[in-house]
Amino acid sequence: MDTTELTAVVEALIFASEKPLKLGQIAALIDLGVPRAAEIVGRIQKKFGKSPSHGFFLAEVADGFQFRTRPELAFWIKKLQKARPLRLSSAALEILAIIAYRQPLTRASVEQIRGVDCGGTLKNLLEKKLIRIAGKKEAPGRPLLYATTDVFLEVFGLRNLEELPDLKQIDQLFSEK
Amino acid sequence: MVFQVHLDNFEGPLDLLLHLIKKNKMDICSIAISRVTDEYLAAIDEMKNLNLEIVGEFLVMAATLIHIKSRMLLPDLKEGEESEEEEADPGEDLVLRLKEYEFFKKAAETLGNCSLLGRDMFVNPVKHPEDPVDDEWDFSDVGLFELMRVCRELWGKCDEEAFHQVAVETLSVSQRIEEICLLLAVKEIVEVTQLFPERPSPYQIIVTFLAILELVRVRRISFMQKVQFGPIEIVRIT
Repeated sequence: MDTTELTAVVEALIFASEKPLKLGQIAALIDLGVPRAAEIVGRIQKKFGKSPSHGFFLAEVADGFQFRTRPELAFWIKKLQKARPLRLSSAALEILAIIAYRQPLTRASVEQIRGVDCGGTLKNLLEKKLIRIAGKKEAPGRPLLYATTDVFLEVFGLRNLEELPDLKQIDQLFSEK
Repeated sequence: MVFQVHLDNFEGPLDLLLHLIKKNKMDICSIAISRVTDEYLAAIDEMKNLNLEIVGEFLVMAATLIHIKSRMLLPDLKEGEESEEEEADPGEDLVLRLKEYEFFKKAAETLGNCSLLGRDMFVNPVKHPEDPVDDEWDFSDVGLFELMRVCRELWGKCDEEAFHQVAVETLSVSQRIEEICLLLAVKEIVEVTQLFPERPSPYQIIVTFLAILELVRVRRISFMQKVQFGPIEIVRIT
């Protein structure tokens, strides 16, 4: 297959995949090495960048690739879909932020930072699969440890945890305001 | 004096305290904390007036604030009183907690401003219409949390009368393992709940769960689940 054909194949694979498709998976599917797959994906990325003339773009999330509609067009998609859009309360966002930056940690640690009971929201986040139980802490009572999931990365559009905005960036962002 | 607070906006005592400090355009420090103590107490009074149930956390914070303020007002008794020095300064402690909380509040806001999947961005909802039984199963998604949910549901069905039975139950884990294997020899896929009678006794639940977990450990069976919160099924590994 020549590059044009391969590009079309990979494009179709990413389009039809339920989850973000990882480079390794793409390479295995087209029976070629990861560098070649990366090159093909790079072409598609150029073709489907975030451009005002396109409705969707190729996003790199949770170590994979996925076609997504542009955030600017959310209003129109919501008109189409009857399902309630994702909503995260400020409590949920705070807890997610704490877990994302300090994982793995216990419910008590989360509550220590927030100064308020977090049981209900934690349960909710577990049900949404944004966080998971990552084990038990070797401490009295062996409390459960929580960590973020791949779903978290997908929802927040992060390639991996290193992509979380770092502490300095956050401070800068707020001093600019 | 009318004191207006929008209570539903506050996530907890730290949030309220942070709001008061920012409102008075102060930096987070011990002095700022002691200055807003009165406003904090007024906010709590307001909650009482609105007949809101004041959560314990808000009261603990009120006590801490009064403690800090009283320490500041009292003369320094450092000389001669060594034990006093060893005690951590509650003001410093609170300053650190507030700063930490402020950081995560900012981090949360930053996260909330991201373009979120399902809110700002959407993906092509791929549906596979074929018979799901023939599909390749995704085993990885059944976690501890899901298993605990099934266990809890069964516990709800548990016949409490069974506690009064005097006869010794002789069901053993190994016996149960054999039974499950026999069942799976006939049927390849069995729903977890089918392994239990209509009203299982606590003993039956425990023994059966141990049997299932043991079979998973030795890789004789595996879990799977078609939809989120759907039934969990066990499948024989051949």
